[in-house]
Amino acid sequence: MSDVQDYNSSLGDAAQSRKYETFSYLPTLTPESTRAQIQYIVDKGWNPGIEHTEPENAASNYWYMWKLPMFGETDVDAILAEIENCHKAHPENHVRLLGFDNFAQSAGAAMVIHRGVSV
Amino acid sequence: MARPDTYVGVQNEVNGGMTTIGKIIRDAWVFGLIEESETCEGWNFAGIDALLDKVNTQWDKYGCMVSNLPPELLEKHQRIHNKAIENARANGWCGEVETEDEK
Amino acid sequence: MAKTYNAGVKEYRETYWMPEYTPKDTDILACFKITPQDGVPREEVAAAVAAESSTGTWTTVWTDLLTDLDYYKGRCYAIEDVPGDDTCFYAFVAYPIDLFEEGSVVNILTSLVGNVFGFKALRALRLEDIRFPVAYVMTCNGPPQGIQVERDILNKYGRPLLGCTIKPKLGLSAKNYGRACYEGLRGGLDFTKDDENVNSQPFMRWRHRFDFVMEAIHKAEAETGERKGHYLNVTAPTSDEMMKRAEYAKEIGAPIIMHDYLTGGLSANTQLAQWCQDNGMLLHIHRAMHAVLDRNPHHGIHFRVLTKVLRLSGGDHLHSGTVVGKLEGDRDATLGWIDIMRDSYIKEDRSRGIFFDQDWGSMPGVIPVASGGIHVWHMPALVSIFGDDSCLQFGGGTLGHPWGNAAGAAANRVAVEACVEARNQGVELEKEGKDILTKAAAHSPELKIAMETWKEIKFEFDTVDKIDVAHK
Repeated sequence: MSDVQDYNSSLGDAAQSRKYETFSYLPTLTPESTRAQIQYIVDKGWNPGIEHTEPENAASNYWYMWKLPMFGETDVDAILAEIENCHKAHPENHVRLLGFDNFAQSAGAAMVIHRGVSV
Repeated sequence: MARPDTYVGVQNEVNGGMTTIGKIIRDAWVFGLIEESETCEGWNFAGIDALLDKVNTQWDKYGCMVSNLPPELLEKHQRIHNKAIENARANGWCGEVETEDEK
Repeated sequence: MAKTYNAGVKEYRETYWMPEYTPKDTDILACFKITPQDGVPREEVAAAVAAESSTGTWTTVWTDLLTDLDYYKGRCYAIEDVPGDDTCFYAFVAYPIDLFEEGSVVNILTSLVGNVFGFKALRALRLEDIRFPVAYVMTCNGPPQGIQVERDILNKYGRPLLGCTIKPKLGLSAKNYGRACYEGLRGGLDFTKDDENVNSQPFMRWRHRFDFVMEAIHKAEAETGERKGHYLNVTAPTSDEMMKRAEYAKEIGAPIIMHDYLTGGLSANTQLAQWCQDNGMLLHIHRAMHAVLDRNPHHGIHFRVLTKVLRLSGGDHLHSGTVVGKLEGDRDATLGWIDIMRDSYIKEDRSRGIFFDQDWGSMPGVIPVASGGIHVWHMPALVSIFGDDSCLQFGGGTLGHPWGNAAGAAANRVAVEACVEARNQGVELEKEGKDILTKAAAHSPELKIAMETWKEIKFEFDTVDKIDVAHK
């Protein structure tokens, strides 16, 4: 009998294997946790930005921008609302939240809030 | 002391069995590649290397993560590895042994 | 009026001790800790140090009159006691910027420490700190990419980076070595690292190692969807050979290479850093041999000087020590040089051993690498002390996991993410560390076992020093 069998290689088992950087090794953030992370971005004085992508394009540097970064927005509910709007408009996509740090010219925070099904 | 050219057997390992080869053998038991009674004593290193290749092929199916193992394998893994950890502790092994030589 | 020539041995202090001198913004300033021979007055020794590290010789020579000695001489402008140690004192020396070739840390060190340390009037001498004027900083290439660009290249934001040195140090074949890297990366680390002893030994030639490791990186990236790297060690017997290895690393698509800047040499390091900048390559710097220079508190070169020199020569990562593993006395100094690595402006702060204000202008920062004897229980303190712009490396803390490399990596990744999440929520990491890890372990069997393998760390200090985020 041949030893060779068809098996579920983890390259193919994307749903389990694919990650998306910060917090992707933790369980999906609860609504309270999400609010706390948004508050952290606001308290740091960073500009929130929402982006999304089809899971197959997640490896690219550039995800689609949802509208524009919410420059100067400090209302956590407003930010949460936009994240939900993006998710409703693109229910299959990963949706991530970034905190843009003007001074460092980098993102001080970046996390996927809604996890699409990875491929 | 001259370096041995055959394996001493997992029951005779240093660190109470917490070595790279020890972990390979235990994983081989979990995946059923060798019998749980096989200690690999007297094996040459080519044999150990070949066993490592087989173990790696198995782990690739589950993304190298214990949490991805199906229930029967998970149960087997817990049983075999928990026993090994207990055994190692009884022989004086602890995490500090792993980190104390680092600068 | 031209000076006339007076032959003979002069006292140094007549020429080189100038307490009335106000350092210029363009001067390079040095602080030396001097342990003099008995019976020699402080000003004389300090002046001698200033002279011997700049223009002086033991007697006046007629060629002195061909140069504008007053313009070019190093001058000792201040002397201070060393608190708690009366065998030695601090001397502050100013050097005009024109003494030094632009962009050359090699020249700086050759001048400042090249000749003076063997001087007989000294029992011991230590270079404590150097102030580089912005004018000089701007002539140096600095870190090839810098912290922000590194984050963009790796697409990693909002958390410390994680790494692991692959062990056992010597003896793994290239194929097994690659497998060890693959498992660590696949489990959740960002980087794996060549041990600094691994160059191109007979059991594993560098090219084979590079090939197998790249395969491991590509496989781990494809499976996790995250970017990975391995610090391929290009330290070599000659800089030609070093460049050959660096070029090959680029050819096979490696994102980062590694160099030992002290044993490899600063000339080679500066060359490599410039090449990395031109070729979009990240550069991890290891500090082998630093303890030969910095360990003796009376003689040698303090590590904060070696840090500054590296930032100028060029490197994107530099090993800094872990802080959590150290005695109280070293902790403050370590926090000091970590600021020197990352910040754009560091103020004088004697409590952390910073002797001068240091302005780096717009030169990018270097990521401090904490490596050595750390494990999951240290994670809350590490995240609290180092902040996000750091790389935490767990060698034994990954490879020593009872279930293997991937499990060790996953335990560390879950731990760091849990600590970052908690910190962002405003939780006090030092106080609640155990709770944070325990909660995270409920979802991660790998972390649970890691917490049982290593001993819990209790923090003795009430307030863990936090390094200021970005002096603006």
